[in-house]
Amino acid sequence: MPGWQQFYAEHKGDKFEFLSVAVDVQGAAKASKWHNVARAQFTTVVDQEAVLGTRFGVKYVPFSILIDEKGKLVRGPTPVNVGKEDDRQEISQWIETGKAPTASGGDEKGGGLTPEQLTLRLRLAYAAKLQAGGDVQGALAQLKAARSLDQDNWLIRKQIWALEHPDRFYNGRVDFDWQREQLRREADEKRKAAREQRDNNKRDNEPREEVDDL
Amino acid sequence: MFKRVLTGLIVFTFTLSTVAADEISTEPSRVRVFERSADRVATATVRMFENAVHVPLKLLIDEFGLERKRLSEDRIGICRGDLCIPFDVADKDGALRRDGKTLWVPVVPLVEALGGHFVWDVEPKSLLLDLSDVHRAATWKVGEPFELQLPDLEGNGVSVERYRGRKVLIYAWASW
Repeated sequence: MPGWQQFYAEHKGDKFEFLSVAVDVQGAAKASKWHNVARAQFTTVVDQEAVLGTRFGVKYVPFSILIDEKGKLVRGPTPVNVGKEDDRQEISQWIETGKAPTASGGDEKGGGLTPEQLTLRLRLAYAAKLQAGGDVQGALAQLKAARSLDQDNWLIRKQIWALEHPDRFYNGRVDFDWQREQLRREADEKRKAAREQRDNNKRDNEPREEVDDL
Repeated sequence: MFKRVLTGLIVFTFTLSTVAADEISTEPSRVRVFERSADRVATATVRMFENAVHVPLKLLIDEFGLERKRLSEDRIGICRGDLCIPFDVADKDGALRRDGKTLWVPVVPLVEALGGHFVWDVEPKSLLLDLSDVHRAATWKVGEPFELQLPDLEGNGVSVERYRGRKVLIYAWASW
């Protein structure tokens, strides 16, 4: 965020605007901290239902979207790192010359959301509502049901972690070592469950001795 | 489409035109109902008529902002803005059922006609509804108009439209 504040300070004016979108089921309270730390002068909005990512079919953050003067989409979701000179230059050039940067990311398929995406969005909205009302367990149940629809969705997986282990996220800093550990733990559990499933299937399929029922 | 998902609790998801007949008691039961576009949770009675989930019309009107229009003696329109879905009031499939003073609305045909979506959870019993026209909300495409409205940190709505005339970089991030 501090990097973007600097970029914003250098480019803001009648040609360019920066809008930050905080994706968080937990809403403004969590997002405003990072906004304030960066002493951000740009606007931050809160996307509790991950609307932006869902409609583009993107399962990660951070990403950027470019809109032109007429309000048309120039480039879909694309990872951008404000700490990288190349990325900064590309955006600066677009602002000055209108030359659209390369590589359009995201899901370009049209035709609306799938039933799974709609269910996902409904569950995320309900999770946000429950969480706001103090029902963390209810919110977690909805998030976990959402995760089961979309296993590789990082937006959901990390939200679950943040609710289950707030100390790893909101205690001064985000504990990325813990996240790597957690990922390993979850992978282990998944492998274990798959192994057990296999063993059970094997047992079920083994020929059984016929026993007379006496 | 009928799906059984195990996630520590038992969850049944079903999308349009699906009914999990054997999973819902035929007795009226009190459940939590969430509606996404109104962002409201209410406790309401749902009940089954011929294996189809029904909710009271009053719930949709009082809590979730739909309106009713009387079209004729035995025909009622359930409306969202200009869009009105006509329902017969009759003792048959897909119709509004009358039971004393209560009118019961079949969830599946209503949601289907509005272009919405719903999910039924068995444990804890809850009905998740989206009565907005979610199917029309297509994905955004390059070269086409982009609109987005979200609340800022103080809760005031901000629309991307207000930046018209300037180039905008939208940056999505998360604290986690």
